[in-house]
Amino acid sequence: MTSRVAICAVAQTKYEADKWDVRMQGMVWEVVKQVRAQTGLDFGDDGIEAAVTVSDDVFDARTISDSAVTDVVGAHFRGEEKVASDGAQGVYYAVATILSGKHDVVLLAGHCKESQAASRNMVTHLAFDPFFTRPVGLDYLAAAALQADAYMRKTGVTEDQLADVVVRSRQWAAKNPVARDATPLTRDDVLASPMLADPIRESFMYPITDGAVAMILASEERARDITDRPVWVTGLGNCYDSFFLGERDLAGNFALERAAARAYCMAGIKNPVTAFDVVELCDQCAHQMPQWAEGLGLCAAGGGAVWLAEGGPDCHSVNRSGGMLAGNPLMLGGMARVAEAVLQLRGDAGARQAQGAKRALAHGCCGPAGQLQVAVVLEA
Amino acid sequence: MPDDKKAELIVSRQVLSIPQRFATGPIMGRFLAELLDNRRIMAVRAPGSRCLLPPREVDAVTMQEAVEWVEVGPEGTIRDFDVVYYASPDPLTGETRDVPYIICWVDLDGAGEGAPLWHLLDAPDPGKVRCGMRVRAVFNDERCGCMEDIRHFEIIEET
Repeated sequence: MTSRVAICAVAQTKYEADKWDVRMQGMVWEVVKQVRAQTGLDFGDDGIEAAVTVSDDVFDARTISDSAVTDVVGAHFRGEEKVASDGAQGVYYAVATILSGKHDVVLLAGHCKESQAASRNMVTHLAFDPFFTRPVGLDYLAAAALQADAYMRKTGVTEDQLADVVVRSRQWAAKNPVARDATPLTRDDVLASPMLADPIRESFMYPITDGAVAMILASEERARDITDRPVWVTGLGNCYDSFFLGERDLAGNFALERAAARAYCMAGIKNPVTAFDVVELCDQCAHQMPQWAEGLGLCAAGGGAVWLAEGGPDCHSVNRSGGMLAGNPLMLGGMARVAEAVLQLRGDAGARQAQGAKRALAHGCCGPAGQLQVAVVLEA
Repeated sequence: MPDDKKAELIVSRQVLSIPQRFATGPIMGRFLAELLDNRRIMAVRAPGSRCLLPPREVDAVTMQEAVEWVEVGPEGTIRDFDVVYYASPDPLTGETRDVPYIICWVDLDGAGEGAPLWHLLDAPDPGKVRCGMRVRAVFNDERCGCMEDIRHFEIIEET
């Protein structure tokens, strides 16, 4: 049994508004081919032994949505586990599979085509229970608006500050070849975008996006055979908050604080403020940039407004990829953060490279207003 | 709970519906276009491997890309079939097929074994259908680029 696990390869499609010319299987195959080419691995006992996939039944219009992609992830004759959640949780599954001693080399592949649904909000509406919360019109956007309102009232984060978060996201996305939306925006552009659910304007919310991500993870012994630049997963933590929004402190970080504490404990991190060279956090909505920064301990609880005002995102090298705000589909927000962290730690991040990055923090979340939180610590 | 109390419980009835549209990509897309434009059934295969029907991007056994196109059918042999006697509405249209109807798996000529096409079989007497019977695809005159462009298979009468 291995003592630690490395990510040995990552690949992402370009994130796009509407990949109308390719099926979801085609997207997944594109990234699976890339990670196989990067590692030279084939499927089988001497290569990729099992797969973990990430997808959503409703977007994919079928139950057990992983059945659509078993062909392209080599799951015939092998094991496959589906994660119906953010792909950062898929990293957790893959690492657990390897640490258990069951397998040494695991393929992780996630996909989502938000463009398939006439409305993303109709899909996330179905994430709510059919009796109590769906009848009142809740979806992830409306839930994020409740959270944003609570968070801004508690911390004093302003609409101008949120607009600047969006402007900064686009600036970094311009340096990321796989980013979906690198159209430059000014603060005035953002503030002129339509109000969707007060206080969330259209530009505050991540755009409709299609894409796929794949990774190969391996035990320490196999990782050294596969690559000379393994990125070690040294800390992992996750935590669920209550499904019912009314039972949660929407302005706080109950689940994220616990997820982060578990990951930091595993990685031996005492002070997260100074621990990371690169941070990628899963900002589905602009207000979540400072809110998650609090939950991850990059600044004091309730200190998000000051953190933004003092240039916290740049000080902590947060979301040089552009973040989820620049466009990743649901399910892949955290997985794309892990992928970017790996690129940064391998020195493969091009014009957005954080020089000499040795340790990174990647964060994923899923569910209404970040019900599930996942923190991943990665080291070169 | 006693039955008279159970009878008082409210049952919540709902229908879920989300309009969706799906990319077909270069493989499924060409398969459907061949049905639409040429009344032809096309399978794919990776070099040196089995045919795939329905056609898809990758041969899951060899993990090679299926890049070769092979015209198959329109005639073939019934591998297996099932006579269905219950009516189940299509969740999208609410329409119900007339019963009984027959679902069959057809080994299309040229497709080899292991890649049967699933479709409906129109047979005047379901009781006389047997595995191994020869069948042929019947195309609709009005087609839209979908599996229903093949209306059904019909039995080829022996002469």
